Amino acid sequence: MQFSMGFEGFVFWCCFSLFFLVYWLFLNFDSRIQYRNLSLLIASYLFYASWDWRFLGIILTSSVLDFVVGIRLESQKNEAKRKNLLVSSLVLNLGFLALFKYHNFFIDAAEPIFRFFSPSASLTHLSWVLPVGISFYTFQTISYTIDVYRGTIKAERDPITFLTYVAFFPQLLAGPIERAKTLMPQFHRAHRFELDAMKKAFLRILWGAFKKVVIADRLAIFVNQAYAYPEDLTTLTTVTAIVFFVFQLYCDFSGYCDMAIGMAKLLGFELSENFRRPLLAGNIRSVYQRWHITIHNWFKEYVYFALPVHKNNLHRGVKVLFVFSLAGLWHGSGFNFLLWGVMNGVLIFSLDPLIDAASRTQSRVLGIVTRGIGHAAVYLSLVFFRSETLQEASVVFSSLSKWNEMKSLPLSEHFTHFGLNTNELIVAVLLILIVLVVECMQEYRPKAHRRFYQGHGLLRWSSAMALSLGILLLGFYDGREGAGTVKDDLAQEEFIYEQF
Amino acid sequence: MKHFFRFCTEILVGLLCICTLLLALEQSGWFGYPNRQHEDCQDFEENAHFINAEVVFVGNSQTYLLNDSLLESALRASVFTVSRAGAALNDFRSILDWTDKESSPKIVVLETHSFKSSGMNDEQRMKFPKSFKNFLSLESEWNQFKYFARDVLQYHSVLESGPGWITEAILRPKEVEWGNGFKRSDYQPIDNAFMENYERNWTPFPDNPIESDVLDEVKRFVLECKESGIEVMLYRSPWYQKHCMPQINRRSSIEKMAAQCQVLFVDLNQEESLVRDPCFFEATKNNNQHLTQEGADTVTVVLAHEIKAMLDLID
Repeated sequence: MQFSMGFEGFVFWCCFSLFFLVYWLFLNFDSRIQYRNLSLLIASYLFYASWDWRFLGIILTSSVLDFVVGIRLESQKNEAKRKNLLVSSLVLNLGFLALFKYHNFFIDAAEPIFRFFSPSASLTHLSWVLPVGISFYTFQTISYTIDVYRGTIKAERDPITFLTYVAFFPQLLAGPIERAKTLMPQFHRAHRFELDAMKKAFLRILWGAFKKVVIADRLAIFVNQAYAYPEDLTTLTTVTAIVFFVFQLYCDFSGYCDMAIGMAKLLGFELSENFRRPLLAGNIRSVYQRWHITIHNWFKEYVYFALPVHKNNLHRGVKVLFVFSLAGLWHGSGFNFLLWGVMNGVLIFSLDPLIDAASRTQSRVLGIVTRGIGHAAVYLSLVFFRSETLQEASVVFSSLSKWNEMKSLPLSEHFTHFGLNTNELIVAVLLILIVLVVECMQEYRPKAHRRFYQGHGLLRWSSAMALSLGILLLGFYDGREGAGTVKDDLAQEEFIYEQF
Repeated sequence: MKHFFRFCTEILVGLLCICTLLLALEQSGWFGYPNRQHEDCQDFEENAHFINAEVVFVGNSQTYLLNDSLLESALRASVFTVSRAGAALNDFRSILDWTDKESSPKIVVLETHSFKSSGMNDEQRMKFPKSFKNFLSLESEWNQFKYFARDVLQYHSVLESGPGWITEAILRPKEVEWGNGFKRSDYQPIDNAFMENYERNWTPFPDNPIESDVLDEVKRFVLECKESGIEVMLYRSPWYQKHCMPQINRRSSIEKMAAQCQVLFVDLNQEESLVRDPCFFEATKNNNQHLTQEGADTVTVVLAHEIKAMLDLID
């Protein structure tokens, strides 16, 4: 059995607690910054090696290359040579990504062309394991190199600091993707232990863990069953699976980010926000301004703005489409991901006039329409994201019209067949409501939200207790199952975005 | 550093509170909810219906759906069912012992779906001793914590079974509410739309033979009953004809055991009139297909006929 230390595991938190004590008692002092960063690097590499020690070679090569390129970019004055350095860094970084992540995708895409010329030709598919977090740290190192090339930041001269920036364990596996100008300076100073901020970080970790192991993993039972047997879906179960997947994905990824940001804060580091209540967004454009913010900012900064300035609306549409196609492919190497990206690009571009009109006129009706269309479009497009193939997605979509088959079973049977009994289903819906209530409070009642953190400690203490007990008693971890769940091997314990 | 130590202290206090709360929950039996069948059995033992019953049915959800009014009017005898959803015969062994009891039933009717490994966890859960002296005994202290840790780690998921179970765990029905144990079926019958499933791509559930140790246990129980002067009858509740493969292995093993014990075995799946009508059966893709109210009434009449003949012989 392979041993890996994910955020959802007990072993990880034992190790982190130990590291936390050593970090604040012995390492985080102005006179010991080097040792502190070295300890962070060792911890990060041990964490990464717990998946597969061979992955260390890739992250190390990529980091060393960008460290050297960064220094040479700064000292080099010849523009052509600087450009060559940048291109060589991009080629190598993206080469790793292409080799490990997209090799089979390229082969699948090229095979029909080869077959056309030579029917007997067959291209080799690789069965290599995708190094965890490769898409995240590759984009992080690329952003560093481009920023140094542009002169936005100075090249880092200390190799330990640079390697730690690339491999910083709270955000190594699934982001947030940090720009060097925000994270790197934090490695150069000792941090203060601020009690209120630490308590807030601790609560955030608990809330993230709750969203992951209690909500996302419970919904995963239903969603995984539904996508494993899409031909058994009816209209009702298809709609449920689509909606549940949106909440599963959101709770899974935002839960991971909450834990990552909270954990980094416990070590004194500030990471960027990756989510800003996307489920409450007013339109599709706003959804993507609030969902996985760091990757969308990355694409905006390094791709969209790097493309030639658009001369007309059509040109702008092509740029949007191109960026969203790349964003789709960033998530996974399949035509379903490409289609997901293209769909969202088309929707954003085509709904733009309506969204602009809604914001210009402040019309309530238009606001409701853009919100409805935006959410429906995002929810439906995520069927491509979740499906492993385009065929699977088409089966799921065709199941939306299976009205007649709904009558063949009692209501509760529809759901039991996909793994959740009535009680589990009620719990799942209640948990979704909890997420929505908390997010509505953050969005529409910021004062109440502030009072929660600044008011009497009993409320925060009770919340921490409730979340801890919720995780312990209602959480799906270490192979636990609900009493009313189908027992099979479709349980989801790892984070969805770890596989990207 | 003052803040750091205060933070660590608060975390430790929180952990201590959680451990105390878990301990309290454990001691109050929350984590042992699946093992409440033991307590259910005690409820049965004190139930006046059970004590006075002349015909006792034993089984699970296949049994308690029978129509008790039809049974009592046909048999002219009081009936009781010792049944729980998903239960195995072995789960009820502690109360199905009439050797030292003043009154005993005339007939015990066993439904064969309950001939399976126990639905309860065999491992008894550790509870802290109530006596303070024992609590401080060094010898048991390690075990107490060991079992407590195991219980929490292994069985805590029982509470996640949903509000329904949690409510049931807190507000368990009183003994009188159990009545004679029978319930009305609210399962929906197989309709034309569901029938298409059987016609199109249905894979019948396989013929699963009964484990030999389970059969030995049943045999032992039957012989004990006979020694106490109680007649035993075995029956198999029917399933829709297309739902499962012919249960040849299963039937032959029960027939063999019944012959050895000289008890009657009625396989209602052999009754053509019972297995062909889709209105009698629940529309389900699970292998545990239940009787609808119509099916339960029909099966009750057939079964009552067999039991009546047996009762007449005894009388």
